[in-house]
Order: sequence, then structure tokens, then C-alpha cells
Amino acid sequence: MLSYALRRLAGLLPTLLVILTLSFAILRSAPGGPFDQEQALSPQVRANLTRAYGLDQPWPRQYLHYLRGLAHGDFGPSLRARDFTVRELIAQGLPVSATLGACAFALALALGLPCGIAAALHAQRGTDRVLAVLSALLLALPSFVIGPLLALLFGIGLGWLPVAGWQPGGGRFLILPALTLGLPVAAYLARLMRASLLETLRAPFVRSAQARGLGPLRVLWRHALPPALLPVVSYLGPTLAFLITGSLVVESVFGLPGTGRYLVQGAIDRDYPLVLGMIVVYATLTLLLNLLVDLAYGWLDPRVRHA
Amino acid sequence: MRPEAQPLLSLRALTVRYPGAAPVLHGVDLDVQPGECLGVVGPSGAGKSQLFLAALGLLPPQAQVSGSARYAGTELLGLPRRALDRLRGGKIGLVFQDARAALTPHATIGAQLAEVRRRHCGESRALARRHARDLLERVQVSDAARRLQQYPHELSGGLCQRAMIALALAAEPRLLIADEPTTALDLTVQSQILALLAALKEGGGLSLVLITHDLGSLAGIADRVAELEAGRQVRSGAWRPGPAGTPAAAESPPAAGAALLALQGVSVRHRLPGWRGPTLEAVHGLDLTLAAGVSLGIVGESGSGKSTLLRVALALQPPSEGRVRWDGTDLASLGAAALRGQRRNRQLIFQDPAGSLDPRLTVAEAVGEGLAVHAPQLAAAERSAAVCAVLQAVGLGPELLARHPHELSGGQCQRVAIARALVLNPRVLCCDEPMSALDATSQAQVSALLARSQRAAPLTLLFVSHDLAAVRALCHEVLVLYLGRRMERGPVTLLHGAARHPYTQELLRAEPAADPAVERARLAAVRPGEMPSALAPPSGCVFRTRCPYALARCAAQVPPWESVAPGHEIACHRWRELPPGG
Amino acid sequence: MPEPLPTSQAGRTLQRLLRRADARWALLALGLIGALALLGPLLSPWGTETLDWRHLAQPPGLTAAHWLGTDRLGRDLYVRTLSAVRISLLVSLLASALSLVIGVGFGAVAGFVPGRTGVWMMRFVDVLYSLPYLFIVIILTALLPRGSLTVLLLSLGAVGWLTTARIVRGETLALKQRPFIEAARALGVPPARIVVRHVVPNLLGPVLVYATLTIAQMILFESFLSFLGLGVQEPRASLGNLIFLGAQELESATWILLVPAGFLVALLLALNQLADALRDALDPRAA
Repeated sequence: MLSYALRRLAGLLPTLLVILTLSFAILRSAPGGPFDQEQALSPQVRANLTRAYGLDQPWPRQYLHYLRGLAHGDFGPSLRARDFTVRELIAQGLPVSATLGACAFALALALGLPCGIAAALHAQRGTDRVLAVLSALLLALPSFVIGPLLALLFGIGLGWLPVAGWQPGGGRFLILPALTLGLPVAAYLARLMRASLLETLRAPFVRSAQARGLGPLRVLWRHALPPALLPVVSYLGPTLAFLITGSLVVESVFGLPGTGRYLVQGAIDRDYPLVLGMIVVYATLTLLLNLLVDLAYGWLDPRVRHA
Repeated sequence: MRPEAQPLLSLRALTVRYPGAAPVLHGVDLDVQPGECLGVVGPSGAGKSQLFLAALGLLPPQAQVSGSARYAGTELLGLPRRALDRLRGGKIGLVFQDARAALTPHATIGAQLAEVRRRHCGESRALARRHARDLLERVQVSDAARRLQQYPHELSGGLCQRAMIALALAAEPRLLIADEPTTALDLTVQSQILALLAALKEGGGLSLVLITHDLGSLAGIADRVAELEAGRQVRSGAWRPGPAGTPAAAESPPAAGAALLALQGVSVRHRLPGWRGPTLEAVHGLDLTLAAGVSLGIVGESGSGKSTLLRVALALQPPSEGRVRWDGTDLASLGAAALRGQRRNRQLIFQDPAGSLDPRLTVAEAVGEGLAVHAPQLAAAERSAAVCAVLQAVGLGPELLARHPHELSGGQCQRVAIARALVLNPRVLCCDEPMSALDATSQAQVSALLARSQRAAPLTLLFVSHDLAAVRALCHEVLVLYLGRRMERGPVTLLHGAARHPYTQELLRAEPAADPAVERARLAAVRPGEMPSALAPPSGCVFRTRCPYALARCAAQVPPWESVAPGHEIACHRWRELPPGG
Repeated sequence: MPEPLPTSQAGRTLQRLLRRADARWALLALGLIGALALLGPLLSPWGTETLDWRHLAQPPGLTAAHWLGTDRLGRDLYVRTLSAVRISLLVSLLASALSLVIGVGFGAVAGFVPGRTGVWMMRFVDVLYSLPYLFIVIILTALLPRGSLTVLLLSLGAVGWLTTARIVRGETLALKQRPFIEAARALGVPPARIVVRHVVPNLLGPVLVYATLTIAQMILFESFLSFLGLGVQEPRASLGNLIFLGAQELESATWILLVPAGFLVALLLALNQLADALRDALDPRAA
């Protein structure tokens, strides 16, 4: 098991390298450069900047230089926020985004899984019908609609929570964004859990566990639930990566200083190291979490257990 | 009813219906007396399983159950869940069809057994573990300590069924209900399971209910039989054999023609998935010739390589080693188009008739497709005339032409599949267990149809089956396979008492007898043993691990392929010393 | 011969679909929204970019000059929202078609060719997949000249095909295991004919379900990008940039948000529901 995990971990590096190379190529093949929009710069200054950041070098050399830095944990300087390195920028934004993402994730789990289980156990009856309508509605409400609506209701209408803004340690500021981010995930989780549990509840081994008189709770927990969790787990991996690295919309709607804006603004500004840095963080997280999902699979289902 | 014998289980006017449909069961009355074995038989869809699932509250919630079901005087219908759960598993054990699917896949056998002991007998974890081992030994599982640690997917079908029986017996119930406990198992394993059930019943005053579609399998074990048809009980009483199902034996073969199909030194190996997955050898260095007009039956348990052999013979899969010749031409030397062109000579009938038909094509389209490919010059009218003619030949009317597979019964589907093959006038018809998915009536019809086609056209059958009666009826020669290797080949008289190989004899002994006394004796003499994994075949003679006559020599040397008599060959070190029989 | 039941699979599926109330509602809503988007603007005297200085930020009302109100600049929300629905539908339908064509082709080939080729084709998809999905669209639209519908369409389609390819490959692999494909091979049917006659028709069901979901996804992406200012540009209206404007005016004029948001939610809801109903109707286990 451990050797399998280590082997898989080593296998992540080439994938990460391919992703990086691809992203680098896409980024650099786009027209324009990082200093085009700064009209105040004289051509002389611009040329100096270009040289200082090594942008006058051939691409392969720039790429190798970047990789060498990355190997030492150096993400390079930001080309726009020139007083900061990319590492500093990410170190500022990621804690906010990650806290928000973790809250949203916890909310989604706490809400989605029990609702999904309840819906499956009461399939085609009242509880299930209500939950189906609710989840369908939530799934059709994109974050840029649900965010402003929540702000309107709880912020402006009822005045319970701040509409936007951020103070370090201010949990109140996180409630609405976490709801916005977490509710649709909860809805999707609930549907996934319901469908998958319904499927296993029909399985012969569940009926045979019932026939052994094991009692409804034990049949659910020990026999039906573990296999039903498989599709849920494989959805959770990439979703957690997505939530933690920051949602652009939610952060901009609620004015949170997270990492969500780095990627888009970085791409518009041609801030190459910033964009690549974010991709490294996101891809590493995604790949790691997918690996975790695979390992969890083995734990839930001995048939895919790895030697 | 005699006053002293209160029935253990008593069903009265039991009716089951689903909303918006006709009832599945119409008021069935049934009693199970203490210590007796009741057989419940009927064709699929007769409601046999529903009957007992309904009594135990195991039907889906939308099912409407009425009537009465009493266990030792306690009414089960409407019993609170808690009380019902004390009876289910505690007093009444249930064994399901397809045990591997009925065992929880993510728990070890030991954990599942211990769970029942703790639940119903209130035992500690350690004590329950110890009893789990005793239980496995009671159902004659060898190496019980290791099996306790294993998961269902690591066990063979027969072992899974034993584990399932152990689970049902775990809390020492008084009644065991087994729903098709031997269906989909090899005959040899079926006999073992039946023998085990018979021994359990004799040993401990256990009452048995055996639900099956196969009346014949009950001869040696059932005290009484209740027959169900379309949700109604049609008969009840002592076991008596069903309508004689043994079809006429195959006619003697015409003078053997030239070798149509020849396999030389064929081996087939599969790499199993996974990192450095092991290699499984499904067929090992096999030689085989099929002469025109001499139909050959291939028999052996599942895992013996029968189906792989068919796929290689049909060039659906290239052999890893060896050659396949058709009419003297090496199939590997043909280009893709040439190979396709001569496929019409060798056609295939599948085990799963509905699955072998494209759900989106009508009967006319399915049967006509071969003509469209191999005889594109035919006009549409000529083609549909040919399709109608062949459908008539397989006994299907023109009203089925526009139907889709889901609108046909299993037997009709299989006849469409046969028509699809016959319309091309093939010279060899390969059949892969063509009857095993059909009910008894359709089986007889398809068997008769194949026999007729064989006579009407110069058609040679290559017939893979575990059903020895069907092989006797349709084939002139028999080849016995075990772990991908030939054990014995000879005329069909092999299956009538001339068998020399211990494995062939073992297969013959696994056939249920029609006389209850004989069958009882047969079950009492059933020997344990299952086919080892093809991943690690035994050294020397592969059958030696199950062979009652094995000597040290059998482990050391692979037996040579020797001639017993003209047309009768064998691979066994000791065939000269052993008596023929079966 | 009288035929009481449609015997073809498509006929039966449609029948099962229409038996469901939610499917009927979804189809009705989609038809209504589609008809409104095509013909609705003709009923109103206002143009999409007409500025009505006398009615700035006017709330909706059936007797008012502007049925669904106006925005801060006095533009009619009824006309602007319907033309936004039209653009959103156009872009998302084209982008879905693009991603389906690429995805089905790629997935079916990757599933059907034997050996390692299919595996490597899917490795390629996997690598693209572990790039942040939405990030690719954002980068593409951010990098390429902004505001062009073609660019928007291409970048949406370029990302959307990945999931389609995965689903179609999975279905093809499952299909390849079915005995009737083997039966066709044993019959001597050439591979091209097997794909056209046996594989593709049996893929139609799952692809149809997925196509419905893809359209919803594309509508969502398009409005998401336009909300971020990366998609359709002002003064042209799209559901995304209308919602963006509405979110700015949240405290004073809620209808500027609610009108386009309502249409977006109704569209997504109807498409999701239709996909659900289709999946159930195609399920062979359904009676």
C-alpha cells in the first residue's frame, strides 16, 4: 500500500511537468507582453525591464530558468506587482481562499451527505420530493446569482451579516461567501449520494444483510453506505481542489482578498510567473487529491485494493 | 392437519401485487413441517422467490402483501421490524442465488459471520470470531482460517455459496430457505452444495425449503414438492420426475469428411490488468481437428477454456501460439477483408440470446445483415424472401419481422440468432452454451431445432456445453477440457459409460439421477474439490489435485496423449489400470 | 396492421419521456423561452440600445412603458434580456455542437481502436483535465482578442469536448463488451459498418442526455465569462453582463438583477430537468 502510494506520488511529477509545459506554451504564444499597458514607461525603461526579467532570452532558456527556480521553491517575481514575488502574493491570498474553501466544503458535506441519504431512504416520498426540488433549484443557481441574492436577503434585507469585505479572523465575513460556494456543491453531493445509495440499496447483498436480521441502521452503515460512497469520493477530490484555490466570482462579489483573481488578472496582464504559479498550486492540489481518492477507493472496495 | 405437528412455516392465501399490475402471487397456501425438505419448483416468473421474500418482509416497499405467513404460530406479516429482525437470520436463514453478489463485497467472510453471531447470539467479538471458523468448517470449507480473512471476490462461486450457507446457519436457525442455491454453478459444484444441504438436514433437525427451476435437482433431497405456475400453486406432493426431457440421441455420423477446422498447438494467454499483472493461460497447447459432418461437443467446468477455444476457432481472437487452419488455409495468413469474407462459413450462437442481438435492429434487419454483407448483389426482395424462409425454418412466423429483441422471449431471441447464422449457409455452427439461459421448454425446442438443422444441411456443430444431455443429443464426438488442456476425446459413447479419464467420470457423476434412491446415494458419495486457479496450474497432470487415483508420478510428469482405441484418446498416466465407467 | 405501441426505441423513449410531468414542464418552458427570445423583442417598441432618458431605473409593471423595467441608463430590460437569451442560446448551442462533434469523434475512436492508442489518447485528455477547467477558458478569452463571439465560441467548445470524450469513450468500451458487437464481428461485418450501424446508434441515448446537460453548461459558462467581462461585451447584452450590472445596483434596483437572473435560472432548471427525465426514459430498467 505504502509503496503503491509512493510510486503513484513519483508518477505525479511527469504529469505536472507536462501541464506546466503546456501552460507555458499557451501563455507565451499569446500576443502582447507584461508591460504593454503601462503607457508611462519609456521605451528605454521597458527594454531595461524586459532584460531584467530575462524576457529577452529565448523561450526554452526562460522555461528552464523558471523550472530551476521552481525546484528550489522559487515561483519568480510578479511582473506587475513588482514589489512582490509570486510566492508572497500566493502566501497572502491562499489562506483566505483556503479558509473559505474549507468552510464551503465542510458545509457541503454536512448538508449534502445527510440530505442525500435521507432522500434515498425515502425515495419517491415527501422528503425526497422536497429535496429534489431544492437541489434542482440550487444547481440552476450559479454563484454569481446566488451570491448577490444572499447578500440582498441577509445583508441588505435582514441586515444580519456584512454584505462584503474582510477582516482577518472575521468569521462573520465568511458565512455568506461560504454559503454561496458550498450550497451548489451540497446540492450536487446530495443528488450523487441519493442516486448511488439507491443503486446499492437495490443490490443483492443489501437484501441478504436484511435477511440476516442485522437491523436497518447496521445494514445502512456497514453494508450499503461504503460502496455507495465510491462515486461521491471521486467527485470530492477535484471539487476540494477547486474550492480551496479560490473562486473568482465569490471572492469578487464579496470583496475577499483571496487568490481567485490572480489567474484572470494575471492572464490579462501577461504576468506569466503569477499565472504559472497558480497553475502549479492548482494542478498539484488536484493531482494529490485525486491520488487520495484512489487510495480511499482501495479502502472502500477491496476489489481495487492495490498490492 | 395432525395436531402434534404444528407446521414451522405456514403460508395462507398469500397474495403479492405491485401497483398498476396483475398480482404476482394469487393466494398461495403452503406448509413447511419441522425437519422436512420442501422443494418449490416452477419456471422463471412463477413467483417462487417472491413467496418467501414476501413472508419475510424483504420485498420492495411498493409491494402489497396480503394473506398470512406464520412462523411457529407467530404472524410475520405486519410484525414490527425489531421482532422480525430477531426471526430473520435468528430462526430463519436465507440463502440467495448468485452468492458472490449476495455477500457484502467490502467485508471479509469472517467479519460477516461474526456479525451475525454477535447480533443474534450476543457473543463477544473474540467468541464470535472463533465460532465463525467452526461455521466454515461445518459447511466443509477447507483451510477455514485463511478463508475467514478473504473477501467474497477472492473466492470461487462454490466457496461463496458455502460461505452464504454458513452465514444463513450462523445463528442456528430452525428453517433454511435456499433460493436457487445451485443455479449458475458447475454441475460438480452443484452436487457438492446439494450434498451439503442434504447432510445439514440429516444432521441437525433443520427444515429446508429449496426453491429451484430445476425439478431434477430435487430428486435426492426433497421430501415434498410444491409446483408453482404464474403465481398459483398447481401441484403438491412427493417428488416425481418431470416429463421425460431426454431427447433422442444424435444419429450416427455420416462417413467422416475432410478436416474442416484444425487447431495446432494453440495456446491463449491473457495479461491480467494491473501493474505487472500476472498472465493467465486459458488454453494450453491444444490440438483439435473437426471433420466435416462429425459434430463435436466440448465439455468441462467453467474455467476450462471452452469459450476461449471457440473464440480462437472463429478467429475472433488470435492464439498466442499455434495455428488455426480452415480447409487447409492458415487463418493468420489471411488479410482482414479475406478473413471477413470467409467468416460466413463458421457462425456463432451465444449463451445470452437477447444480448447477442442489437437492441436497435428489428428481426428482419438482424437476420438480413449477414446477407447485406456477404451477398450485396441480392435485391431487397430476394433478401427478404431469404430472411422469411430461414425464419420459417427456425419456426418463427413473418409477424415477428418488425419486432425488436425486447419484444421477444428468450427462446424466440435464440431462434432469431440461429436464423441469423443459418441464413448464410455456414458449414460449421459454433454454439457457446446455447441453451443454458433458456427455460426447459425453450431448451427442448432449441435442441430439436439444432438437431433438425444439422440433418437438413451439411452442417457441423462445435458445441460447447456443460449440459451433458444436450451433448449426447446433438454430438457425435466429445472433447473433455480441464484447465485449458485436453483430458479425453472420443465418440459420444464416452458419455454413456465408456469414459476412461477420472475427470470425465467425475463430470458424469455430477449429473443428477432421476431415481430418488439412486440420487440420494449419489449425493452421499459426492467428493469435494474444485478447479484450481488457471494462474497457478498444478504440475504434471493438472487434474491430479482432484483425482482419487493420483500417484506421485502424476505430479511429476505431464501425461502423454495416448490412443485407447481408434477415435478414442486420453491424457492419463493410469488409464490402463482404471475401469471404464461414469 | 394496427400498431398500438410504437415499436422503435426512439418512439418508446419519447412516450416514456412525455409521460413525466417534469419533462412536459421543462419542454414547455424551453419552448416558451425560445419563442420569446425569437419573437418577443418584436412586440416591444424599444430597441436593445435605445436610451429612454425619461425612465431611468424604472421598476417593472405591466402598465408601465417598460414591462420589465429599465436599467440605470434607461434601456428596456424586456428587450435587452430577451436579446441576451438569444445570444446566450446561440453561443451555447453552437459551442455544444462543436464540443459534441469533437468529443464524440475523439471518444468513439479512443474507445474503439484496440491497444495502447486509445489509452494514450485518454492520457492527453486527462492532462488537459487536470488544468483548471474554467481557467483554460479564462486564459483563452483573456489572451485572444476580446469581444469576438467566434473566440468565445471556440474557447467554450475547446474545453467542453473533454468531458464528452471521456463519457463517450466509457460508453464505447462498455458497448464493445456487449455480445451483439462480437456477433457482428463473427458475422463478418466490416469494422466501419459495425461502428456506423451498431456502435453509434447505441451511443445516441447517453450522448443525447449529455448533450442536454452540455447546453446548460455552456449557457452557464457563457454567462459566467460575460459576468467577468471576458465574454460578450457591452453594449451588446448577454445574461452574464446583465446580471453583472444588476449586482452593482443591488441596493437600489433589485429587478435589474432579478429579471435576467430569472431567465437564466429558468433555462438551466428546464435543461437540467429535461436531462434527468431523458436519462430515466432511456434507462432500460424503466418499464
